[in-house]
Amino acid sequence: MFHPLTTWSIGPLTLSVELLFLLLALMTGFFAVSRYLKWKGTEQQEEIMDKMTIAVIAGVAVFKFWPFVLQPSLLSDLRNIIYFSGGPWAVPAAMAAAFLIIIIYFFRKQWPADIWEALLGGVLISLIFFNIFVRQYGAVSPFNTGFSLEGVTVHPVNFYYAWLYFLSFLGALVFFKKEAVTGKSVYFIISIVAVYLLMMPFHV
Amino acid sequence: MLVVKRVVFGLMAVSAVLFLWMGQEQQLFEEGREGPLSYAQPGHDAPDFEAQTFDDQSFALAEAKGEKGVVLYFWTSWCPYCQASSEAIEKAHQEYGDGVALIGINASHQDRLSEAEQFISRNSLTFTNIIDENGSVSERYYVPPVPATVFINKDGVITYRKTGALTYAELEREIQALRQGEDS
Repeated sequence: MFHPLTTWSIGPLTLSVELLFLLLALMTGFFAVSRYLKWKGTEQQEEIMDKMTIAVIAGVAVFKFWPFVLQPSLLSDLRNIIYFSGGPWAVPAAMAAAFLIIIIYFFRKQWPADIWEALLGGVLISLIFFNIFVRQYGAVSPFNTGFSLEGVTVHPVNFYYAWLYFLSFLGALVFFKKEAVTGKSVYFIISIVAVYLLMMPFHV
Repeated sequence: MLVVKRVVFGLMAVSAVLFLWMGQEQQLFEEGREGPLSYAQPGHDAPDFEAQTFDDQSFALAEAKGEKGVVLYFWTSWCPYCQASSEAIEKAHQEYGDGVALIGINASHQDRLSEAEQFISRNSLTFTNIIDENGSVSERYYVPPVPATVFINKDGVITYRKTGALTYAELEREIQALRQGEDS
């Protein structure tokens, strides 16, 4: 398990552990969606994955170029394209762009409802992966087990998340039939919200 | 399959009860506690330090924290991203310097002091800049990478941390959030 603020430097390039595992989690989730659609026998599986790749690329592009939307004057120096990315509302904007593309294709190509279930399952898998590998320090704990921070025990929040998300995913596999679609999607949303609510007391 | 369903359901029920109980214990525990621990991530108390500025003045974060919000900006002279961000930091200092303390920290153990001084004069930086000669401040804040910017509210708690170049729009939003926190 890695400390979130750790960075690895190769010459002038610096890679943060958090970013690396965020990318790996995204790839794992993407792979899980692909496998899930294959397992369900979805006919348009290849086409759906192609369009989802476009949606991911669009999301990354929105995140990268968001500073120039908020502050167009930055474009007066083209080197700024290398320097700046993200900023206020960049993540929601990137997610909205990716989601919008999926919605458009969903209606235009008349995709099956399976994709929502696959997407939510993929999100859960990504969250499990990320939380297994990246430490998240919670509030000071009254219990003896947890991470040690400055000699004090704090809640190992990422472990809690990984365990609860894992149980949620297991529940989807065990309690629902393969053919179930809407029920499973609703279950995924409810379980993500429930996990968030259960975890609230342990955050700083 | 029925056994598997029962086992999974049992695990879910036990986990839910366990986390609810732990949450309740946590709330009781926190009633008698003071603030968060010191650590360089949002939600935690910003680690304190003392250092010398480039003007040979002494600076203590603990003293600055109680008065107003603080923005710590870690930079080096060789980093092109820092060049771009420094302009935004200077502009914010001119605009919001009365309400928020903008403090530059040169990661001097990764830099040359003479080049850092040239960087300050070349970019006409007027905000306070600190020399972190042995890298102890940078180490506590997990720097490099540079630039890294840490926003600290009046209570000394980190509200936001950004690694990488910072635009003026982003800086302005976070500074305004710090000031709103002071007003409320």
